[in-house]
Amino acid sequence: MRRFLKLPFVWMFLFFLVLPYLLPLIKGYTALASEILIYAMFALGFNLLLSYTGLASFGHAAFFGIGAYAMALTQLKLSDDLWLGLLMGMVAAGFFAGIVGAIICRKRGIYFSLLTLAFSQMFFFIAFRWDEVTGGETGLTGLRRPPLRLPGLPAVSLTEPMAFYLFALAVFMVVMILIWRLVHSPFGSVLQSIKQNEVRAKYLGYNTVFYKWVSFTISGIISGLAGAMFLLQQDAVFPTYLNWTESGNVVMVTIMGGGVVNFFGPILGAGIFVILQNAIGAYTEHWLLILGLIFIAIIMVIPEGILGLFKRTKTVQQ
Amino acid sequence: METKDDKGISRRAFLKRSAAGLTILTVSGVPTLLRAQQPSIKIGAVIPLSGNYGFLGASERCGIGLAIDEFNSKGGLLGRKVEVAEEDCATDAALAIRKAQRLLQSEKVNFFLNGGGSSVSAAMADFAKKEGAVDMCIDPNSDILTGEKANRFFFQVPPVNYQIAHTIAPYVAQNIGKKWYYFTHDYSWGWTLTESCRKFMKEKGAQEVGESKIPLNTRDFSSFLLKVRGAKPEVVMVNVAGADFTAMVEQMYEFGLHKTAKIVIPLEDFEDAWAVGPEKNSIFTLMGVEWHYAIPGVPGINEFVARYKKLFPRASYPVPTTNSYNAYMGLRELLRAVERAGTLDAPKVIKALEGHAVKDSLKRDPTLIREWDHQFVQDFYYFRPKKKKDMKDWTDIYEYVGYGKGTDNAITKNLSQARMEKLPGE
Repeated sequence: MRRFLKLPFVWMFLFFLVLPYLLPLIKGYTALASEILIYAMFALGFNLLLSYTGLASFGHAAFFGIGAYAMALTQLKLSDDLWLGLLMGMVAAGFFAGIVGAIICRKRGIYFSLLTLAFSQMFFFIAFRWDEVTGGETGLTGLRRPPLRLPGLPAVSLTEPMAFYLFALAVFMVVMILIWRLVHSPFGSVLQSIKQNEVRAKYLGYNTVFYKWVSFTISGIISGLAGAMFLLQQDAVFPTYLNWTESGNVVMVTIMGGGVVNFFGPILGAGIFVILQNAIGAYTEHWLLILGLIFIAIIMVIPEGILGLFKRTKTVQQ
Repeated sequence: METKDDKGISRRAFLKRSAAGLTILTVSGVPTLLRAQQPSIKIGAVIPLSGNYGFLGASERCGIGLAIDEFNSKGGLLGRKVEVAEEDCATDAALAIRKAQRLLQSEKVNFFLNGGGSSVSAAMADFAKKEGAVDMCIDPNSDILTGEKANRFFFQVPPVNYQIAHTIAPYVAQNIGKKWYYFTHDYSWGWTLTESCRKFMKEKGAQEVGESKIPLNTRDFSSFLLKVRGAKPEVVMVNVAGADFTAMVEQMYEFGLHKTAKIVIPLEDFEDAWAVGPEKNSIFTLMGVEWHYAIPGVPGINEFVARYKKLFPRASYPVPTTNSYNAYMGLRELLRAVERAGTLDAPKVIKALEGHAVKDSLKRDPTLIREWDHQFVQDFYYFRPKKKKDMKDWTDIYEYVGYGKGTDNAITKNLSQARMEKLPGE
């Protein structure tokens, strides 16, 4: 039991179980808690690329958005099944991440980053202008949250915010543990070696381009899943999901929380970002300015992000 | 024995004073509690205060203030105060839904009001239906809002593109020129406005000599301007909005396009025109506006402007604009419907709104809240730039030309895509 309690996942799970009851204290509500989980999932997927492979993508919102659109289109054209929708979100995001990755994974540094930005803007404009499929500027709205069906159990409705939150928590925990396993596997070590010295990893016989491609694609799939979950949360998808500002937000969230030095950084960052956005926005229309200033302050004082203060290097630089 | 501590107050004295303080607080708190039994009626306003249409929010806020003041100054509504909870949607639909959720869940608002363009409004239309909460939409002009998105909980206050084109295009074809060139903002809003203009252009025997699709966020218009010159049109119809519009006007002015063609803006906001300034604004021949603070021959309009000036002496715009008008009209009619219905119950309020004719519409003709698509059917006006010597101040840049009645020009039922659902219990 004692060993069990040492696991950070257990504590995190317990914390997230009570989070919806804590949020009303700061003018929050249950749906906000779900949003934190979804955003944290997205940031964790992004961080696999940023902090473990050393690739800075400035266009990750594209895969988030593609996941959401794929889920929406599945629901509108194909079937109302929850699992099929989520699967299609992941498949579509993974497919496009695979293609983009194959084109750009040979590039390094700023060239890689700029190409991700360019591709994401391309996807954004497709979503914005292809009215027949994506609904154009007004997006696809009026979707619904299908019930959760598990084999051998009666269908559970997810329309209540709390029911959806618990579902999101379950998905989040699974995704987080999978990413944790991944970065602590031999595969994860190769990724980290690429981050530290790609040439050396190559001389050791690793096909670094292939590894980077796999990492990019997995990261895209997780972003797509987060996007599909976000669609369920909002019952709508808009082209703004794919915009570069959203890509910028996930970079900010990851760095602010301390993702560069700590596996759990992006989760903290997502929590802070979503809560601040909500709390400051309720008081002033200048919330973007304040959010920006807070971000600048954190980066100036603690460049490694908030968790960088506490546990430098514990998990990443093993 | 030491009875007082360093801070100068004994424990006993502290307890006594606390008890006394608590008693006073409780006693004085009683009236507050009594009042609290009649909670105020809360309106959730999801409006743009930053982002592309950030300037709209400033105008809308004043309109909301006017409507609320009107009720609170006569003792409230159904014996309760009316109050507004504002949220910035930053022209972002995803954010707007999130803010609306917050307003509903933690502020417990009774009704919604939303601005922020067509994507925010389309999302809000679905949100209103899903949550069963009435929403008055106060700024976009997209046809889908009274078409496929129309539902019983959602009301469209401004006129939509179809009516705007139906009012402006025939007038331009008959009085200004027959060879037209279009500048179309390259997304749904621009496409539908140009499409509607085209339909009425053809009916009136005018012809199209070309079109430039302007991508969103265009800042350099030189290639488009060269192309227009080559096509030699008599009229350039400009269906471009927002910050792109302002950049375009600057360049049209520099380029001297107005010397070779007449430039028509089917729909313009004062806020945009003022940003450009009277000099550059004079390149236009005609502009469509939803409302103007000096429409001649409208009863009550001067009093409305005076009330605005008195209530907001330091507003960013010294006179009410289309957007403050729409916000005012939307909220006032909602609150009046609550008064007529005598309840906050959404289906009853909806029925009080449906089919209602607003006599004091501050326009020439009464405004009708149409039952089958929830459009506020109203007049649409066209103005032209004033001569510089006639301008009284920087806001006074337009002069009245004419108008078209909503009942003549709004879309008809057989062309509309609106399909209304039944309310629970109908």
